[in-house]
Amino acid sequence: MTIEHIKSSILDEEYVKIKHSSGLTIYSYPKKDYNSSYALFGTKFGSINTSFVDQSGNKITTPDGIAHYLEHKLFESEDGDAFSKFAQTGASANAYTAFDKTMYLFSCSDNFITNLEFLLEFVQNPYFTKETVEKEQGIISQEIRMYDDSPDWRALFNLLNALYVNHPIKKDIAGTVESISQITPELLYTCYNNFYNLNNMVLVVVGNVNTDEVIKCADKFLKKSSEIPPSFVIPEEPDVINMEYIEQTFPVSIPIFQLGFKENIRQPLSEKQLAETDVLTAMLFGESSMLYKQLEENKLINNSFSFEHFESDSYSALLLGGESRNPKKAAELIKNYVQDKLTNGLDEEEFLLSKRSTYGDAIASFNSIEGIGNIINSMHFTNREMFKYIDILSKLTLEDVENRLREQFSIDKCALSVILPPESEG
Amino acid sequence: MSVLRKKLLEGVNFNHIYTSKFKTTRVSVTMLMPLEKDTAAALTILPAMLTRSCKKYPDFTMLNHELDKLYGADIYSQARKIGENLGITVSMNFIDDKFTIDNENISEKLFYLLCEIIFEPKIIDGKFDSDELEIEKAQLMDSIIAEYNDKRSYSIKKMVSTMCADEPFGIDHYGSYDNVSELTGEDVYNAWKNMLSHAKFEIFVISNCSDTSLYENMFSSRFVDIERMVIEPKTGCKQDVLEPKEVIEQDDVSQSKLVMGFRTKFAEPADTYAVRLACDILGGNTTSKFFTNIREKQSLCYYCASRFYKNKGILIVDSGVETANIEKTKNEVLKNIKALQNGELTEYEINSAKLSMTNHFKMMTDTTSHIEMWYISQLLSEEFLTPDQASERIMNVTADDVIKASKSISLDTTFVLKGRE
Repeated sequence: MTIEHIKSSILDEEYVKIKHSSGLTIYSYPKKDYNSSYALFGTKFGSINTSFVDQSGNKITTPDGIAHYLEHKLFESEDGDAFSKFAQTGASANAYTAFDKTMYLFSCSDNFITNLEFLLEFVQNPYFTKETVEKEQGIISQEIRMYDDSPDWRALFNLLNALYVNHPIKKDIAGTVESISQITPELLYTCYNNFYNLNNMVLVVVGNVNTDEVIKCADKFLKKSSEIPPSFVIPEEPDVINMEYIEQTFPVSIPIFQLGFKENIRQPLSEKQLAETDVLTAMLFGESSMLYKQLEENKLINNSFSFEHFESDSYSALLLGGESRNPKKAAELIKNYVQDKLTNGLDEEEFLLSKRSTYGDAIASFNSIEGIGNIINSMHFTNREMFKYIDILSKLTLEDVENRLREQFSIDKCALSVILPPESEG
Repeated sequence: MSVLRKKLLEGVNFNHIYTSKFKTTRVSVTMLMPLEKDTAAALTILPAMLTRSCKKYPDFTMLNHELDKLYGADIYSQARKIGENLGITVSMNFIDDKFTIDNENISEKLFYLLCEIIFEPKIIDGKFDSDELEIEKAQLMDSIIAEYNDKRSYSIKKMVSTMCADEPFGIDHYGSYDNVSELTGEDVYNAWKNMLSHAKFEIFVISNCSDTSLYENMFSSRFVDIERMVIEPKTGCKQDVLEPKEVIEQDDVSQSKLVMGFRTKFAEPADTYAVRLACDILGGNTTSKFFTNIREKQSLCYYCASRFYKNKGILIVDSGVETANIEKTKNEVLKNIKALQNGELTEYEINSAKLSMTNHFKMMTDTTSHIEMWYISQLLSEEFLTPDQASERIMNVTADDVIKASKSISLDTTFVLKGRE
């Protein structure tokens, strides 16, 4: 077991990274005077990992939505569901499946170690039977239907479909009602045995926690995993987009758009690239920007407008959008603005303001134990460290950010997705 | 996490929560006005206008540049219903001075800026700027139209407006779309003037500053030239249901939404702890009756949740289901409520609901906005309890109290957004 202390002189805080003998990486981040604690335990196995090579070297392809299905089913054990265990302490437990990971979590004000035991135990003990797997079909089908009716969700997935040619990121996280009907207990066990290997997993605890007690609990409850890591198969993604424009009619009263700039990456972005993007996008698209002013004055956006750097270790795209009465015109204005910056460069004054503001936001994000836990988690799966991010952020230059602009944005790798009201009403 | 509550002037309270654990300071001003159809639109758009520009920074971009310079300080505006009152809030979050480069004092500047925003807006010839107003009107009208895009919240809203059609609670916080579209700079100016004269002001400060007298003075000095006649906030709790109503709306969606509104006899300032616990036992957590019996046992839905509005005394249950299962789910909801009313309540159910609620209460103390919300939600109550004190109240509720309180739950209105078969 190795223990590394990671400190930030800017924040005057520290956390510990432990490589446990079981194979698991554990992060413990105590927060002084906090009453509650947050724990996340999960695996680098998300909706995009439907194709992989197992430990015997066989290539396996599973139905779309299986990671999410597994997440639902892991809550159930032979003697009831995990929720009923957490009910004994009042902890609020949950789980989620993302594109690149599946995480199980709880937050609580009391009995942290007891809850941590529950968490480690239920995630390490799968129990899938034909009956319990079948029972979940109805529940997940309703979850899928709920997302089918969400115009924001549809706008996002249509955009991903436009941006990506092969990458499985374009598939719905929960799969389809059809794909999940093919899921069997055997398939769930196959995925579980390959991906719920502690070497492929992480545990993060933040808040009112004591690192020594966490290690003791880990020693007691973690079962050592074999050291063979699973290997994913992500199809090669060409450096072009799939299509420039996609639209869908939907029962909405005002159109919705999502515009995306794709960046092809071969490896996860560094802390520096991430910091550069954050400063860059705040100055291009934030409320203080000239672009925002133009869009607002032309009534092309409203306060639903937002932007996001959507990235993990095999994809990176800058997504922006919201409701608009004229999505095409809004997109054109945004593209022209980006093109202008690509040609003429960035403004130094705007850069300095954006850097200060992004720095303030980064400091403020260390208020939230959930926020800290989620950042450590995503940084772990992409081989990054968050204190390094803040240090670098405070030292960025205009030149760094201009270089990043040219690296990340290219007008010919931009796609637009639009959700339109039915014609009769629009 | 106690609050030091000080009366600065009649109807102006300064609430200070001292803590050094956060990296930021939060300061907010909530102004309470009666919720009325004719005044709602102007009052709702007002905080958006106030945080858009002010006399000192007369345009949105200039104001935002100033905030960027002050390390990305955030300003938010909000208008919401608090019982049958309109709560207008302007709030600010900014990093602690010690995290700035060269230990710059930004907090004093930001407190001052917040006062400027509320008391010195950009007024020209007795009006708010009409170009800016047009932008904010377009924003608000867009968000009104877009309510329909989110079918879950849309359905809940429709249920509330049907159920409380002849009560102030049934009024949208913005009045109506037409009210908003007709607003003029003069209307908003009058709303601002009225608010300064009549609103109850609740200032909240969550910071590591032990002496807040400087900030208290900043606020009190702004009232010197204002003639005040405070309207006390209130709410109403309708108790009898004559005939349950049902509204069905057809839509081209793949999942139907079922929303059921119930009356209870309990709204603050009355004691609501027993009925809140009953609500949690029914559909507030993952061991609740609805979760266990409707989702887990029958796989009818992904969610079936209940929420209690303690400032109005109503309980709302909502679920997303197959169109074919609407009636079945509705009957299951009623059946589970009936069971509780008949005393079917295990120790496990009541204990897990108690622990789940107290867990939520205590966790609030780790987030600045939740601390503020915790106390704002008690403004209509006659006392300010800390999360620990409220937890104690919940733990003292007995099974008999819960069953007794649950008997007051009676169905008033059902709203169904009926999707494809």
